[in-house]
Amino acid sequence: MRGRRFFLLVLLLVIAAAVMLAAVGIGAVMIPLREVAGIIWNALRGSISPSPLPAETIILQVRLPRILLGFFIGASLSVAGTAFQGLLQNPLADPYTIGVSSGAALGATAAMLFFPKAASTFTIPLAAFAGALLALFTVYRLGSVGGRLPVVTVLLAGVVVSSFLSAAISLGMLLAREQMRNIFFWLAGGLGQKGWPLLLFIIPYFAAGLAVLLYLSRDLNLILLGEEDALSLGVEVEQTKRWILVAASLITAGAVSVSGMIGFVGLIVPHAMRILIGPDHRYLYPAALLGGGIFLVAADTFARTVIAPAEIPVGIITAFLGAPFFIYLLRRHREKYRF
Amino acid sequence: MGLQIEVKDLIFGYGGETVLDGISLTIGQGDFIGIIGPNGSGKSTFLKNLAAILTPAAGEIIIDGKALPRWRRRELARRLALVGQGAAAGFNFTVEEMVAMGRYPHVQRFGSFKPTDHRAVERAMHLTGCYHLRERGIFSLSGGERQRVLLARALAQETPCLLLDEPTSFLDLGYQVELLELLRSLNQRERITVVMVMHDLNLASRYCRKLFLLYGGRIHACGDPEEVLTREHILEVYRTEVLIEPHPLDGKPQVIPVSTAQAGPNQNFQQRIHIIGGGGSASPLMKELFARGFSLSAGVLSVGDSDWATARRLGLTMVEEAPFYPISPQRHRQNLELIEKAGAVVLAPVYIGPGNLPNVEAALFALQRKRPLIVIDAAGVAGRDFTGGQGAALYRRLEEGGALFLPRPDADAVIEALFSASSGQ
Amino acid sequence: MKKHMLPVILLIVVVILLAGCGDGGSGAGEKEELRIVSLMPSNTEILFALGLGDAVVGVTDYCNYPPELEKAVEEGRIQRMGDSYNVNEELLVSLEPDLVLFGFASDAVERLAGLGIRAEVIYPKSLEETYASIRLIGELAGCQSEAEKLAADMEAAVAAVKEKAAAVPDAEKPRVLMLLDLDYLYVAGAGTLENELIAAAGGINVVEVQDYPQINEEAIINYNPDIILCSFPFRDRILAEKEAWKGIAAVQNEAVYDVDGDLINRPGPRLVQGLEQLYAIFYPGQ
Repeated sequence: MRGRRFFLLVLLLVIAAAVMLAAVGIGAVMIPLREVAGIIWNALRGSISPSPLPAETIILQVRLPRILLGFFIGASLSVAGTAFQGLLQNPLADPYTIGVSSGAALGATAAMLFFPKAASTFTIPLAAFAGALLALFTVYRLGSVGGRLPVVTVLLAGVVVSSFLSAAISLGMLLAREQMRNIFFWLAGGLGQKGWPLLLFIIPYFAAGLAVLLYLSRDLNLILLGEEDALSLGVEVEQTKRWILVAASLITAGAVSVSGMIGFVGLIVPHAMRILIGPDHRYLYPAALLGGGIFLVAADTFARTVIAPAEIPVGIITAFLGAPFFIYLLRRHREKYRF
Repeated sequence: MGLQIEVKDLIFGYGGETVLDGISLTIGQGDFIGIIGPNGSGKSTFLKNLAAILTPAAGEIIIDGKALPRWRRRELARRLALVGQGAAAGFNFTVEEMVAMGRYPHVQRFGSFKPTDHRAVERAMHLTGCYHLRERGIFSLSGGERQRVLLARALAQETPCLLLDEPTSFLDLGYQVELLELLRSLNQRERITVVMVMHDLNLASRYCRKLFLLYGGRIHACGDPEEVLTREHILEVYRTEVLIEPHPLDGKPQVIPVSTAQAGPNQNFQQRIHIIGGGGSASPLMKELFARGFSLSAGVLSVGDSDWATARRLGLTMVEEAPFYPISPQRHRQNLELIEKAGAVVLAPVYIGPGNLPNVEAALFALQRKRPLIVIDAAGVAGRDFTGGQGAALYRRLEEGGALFLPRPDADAVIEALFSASSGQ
Repeated sequence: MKKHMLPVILLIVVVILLAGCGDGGSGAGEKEELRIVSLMPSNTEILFALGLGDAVVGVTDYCNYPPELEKAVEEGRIQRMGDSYNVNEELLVSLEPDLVLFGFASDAVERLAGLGIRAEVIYPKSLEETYASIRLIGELAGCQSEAEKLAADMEAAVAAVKEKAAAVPDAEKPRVLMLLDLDYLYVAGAGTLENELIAAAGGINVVEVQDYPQINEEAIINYNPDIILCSFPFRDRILAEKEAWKGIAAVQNEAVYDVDGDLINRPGPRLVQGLEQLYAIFYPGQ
């Protein structure tokens, strides 16, 4: 069992590397792998030509940051989804369940509405992040009962806050028609046009959140057995839940504030990985990280090449690839995989 | 290793509704304790308070001299292991992973399993008979198998105390006994303290050395099974009439329900019926009338006689005479007093000898006092009269006096006769 | 509020309404009654250009030209109706229009016909269709001659620019990218009005995908356009923020222009201005 899981993780790592390498070569402009390797090698050595060739710009300024961003966003959503599904013991939970994403969307919307001049690729994610934290705080306050965080009240609070915030966003869009288009596109989500700065923006949140989740992975395993069992096995359940909620929300906030809402990754990849590698979060988190990254990079590569030079919004691709794959997994593992 | 649990005036409620209302008790190392009581009496709630899953509203739980809130959970989990009812597990862990989680309180966060940990897990699986299931996912297990896995996990915790919440509820008979035997041997060989909530009073009686009977959030009775499992206690708490019989092997009291419907007297005939019997002649009728809720008394019965044993089990008011002694005038008088206060009298087809002739005279007394008398007599009195005709003579006087003769000790016929006699009056 | 406004509007309209086509002033009695609702900014512009401004009683929230429109709205002579898609039919009927010009196909057209209100869907997608629309509106509103003149003037102006542009050999024509959105890279592709104007002004649209596709950033780098046109003010951001675009000819030469989108994508009389602007951008100093 241990050996098998280790093997699977290595396999996922290899696939992730292969998918990302292939993705760098594929695009509206085809660049031979040899040239890709040369460009990356030169860049790594720090020798950047003063007047770069288009291929060089495309690789270094467009594709690489987009692919790496795709990987981290996919990994973020998937890891956060894994944590939420475990924490809320709900197979339908995903990073959007507890309202964090709606908070991010409202933050972005507010920025575009009230400070249209200042709204930019960098300030909007900041506003989105603030909104996400505000939503988390609200859900946290609404969901806690006498110092505890019962799963049901957290879920309910999440749904309520989400609905309320969605309504607020719709209202905002109605009131400020000039910004409606921007808000709409932001909500639709996407990975293009973000570049290196935003990649660097989300990595700290991802790293910090992941560290907390990994630290508490064994405790979460026990919470999955039921909170009473976890308590009797010595887990400080309430504290653990609190930290997991905050960590997973931070990761979500980072991802959503940069990429908007990209559905299905945080819902499906955790399930797929659980089928593949089992429910032990010590292995499940790394698997979800790699699986989510692979999935989103692959989906985005598809989105930007299939009707090149035009693009399809990546959310459509994740849904198109994700839903049938999910159904396939469920049917194949029906008896083994019961929630 | 010695473990001491002290509970003082424990009060607990769910949102204003008091569930535990002042419970105090002490549990020592090596105890084997059963917590029994009807549904809603607070058994499971009490156990969860002990396991620090629920926090008391008032009172204290002191473990090894330290109050519960001051315990760190991880440390507490090395002292107490809880086997819950384990209804829902959301994710499909394998049996081995499940059991290995019992080592959580012993293993450092990022530490790996040591040989002692592996040994504890394997031993726990062997003891509970789920070693062969170790690769299986828990979703594929039956309810009973899952319950054994939960026990294995608790054993892997290697605590000096096991708390079990109805550990036998999903098990079939064979596994129930197997599990309890395992707990008994752990208790005897390793002095592991066992505290279990039990629904099954008879199993509790056989395996627990001490019982706490909870009722309405209080301890209604406690002590060894003989002290706790009495007809009166069960009637008070479960509102059910039962018989208490010793187990044929170990003599532990066993509870046999008689009638669930009859917590009170029979509504159609509320007066007491006095039964005159002996030698087993009255037992079937006593049991049946008792089961239908009639209030009964009996006399005079010799101690050790099978009718006497039946009356005693049923908890009837009766007049007893020492074995192999003739009925003394004093006992006879007591018998007549009971008859005087009874609403009707039944004379069972007893064998009549000089020693118990007063019992037939007592029947005659009933007639004189205008009590309806039913005489069960199938084959005539001659065959059972060993008094040289005195008994038969008395029977004739009974017949002349208006006694109602029935051929068989049939309860329906007796009841019908009683009704007609009482309405005729 | 609206109920109170209605009598006032009616009064003002009845008293002040100029006969027929405004300053054209034919004075025909039937035209005094004419009340028109325009549910598309381009149609509103055509109506005003035909001198029918005083007959207009309802417009969309997006109708922002000509300037006297805003005054009429403030004075309550013209009602704002919302956007082109979601038309409040109660409000529409309460304005008692004779003619409703929709911008998009709507099932309200039939319902209005049932109430005896003439309704037409007018949404030209090319220069030719724009001329035709102007003539159609003239016909519907009874000012054919004004419409004919307006359309003919447009045709002549467009032809003049086209003639100048046609003199330029293809190889010397600038390669142009028309950007509608910077964050999601929506661009004007083949078959669009923008595409037609670029071609007419002597430019070559680098995007050959139909309609308004969302496009890869790397495709833009690869197109390497000579000129980038922005229908919203993106110029400063492109020059300041877009590291990856530094190698594009248009960016290196700072040939990135914010243009008034209303002049280019609104199929009305002002397309001529848009076209001339584009020509001036493509061939400065001529």
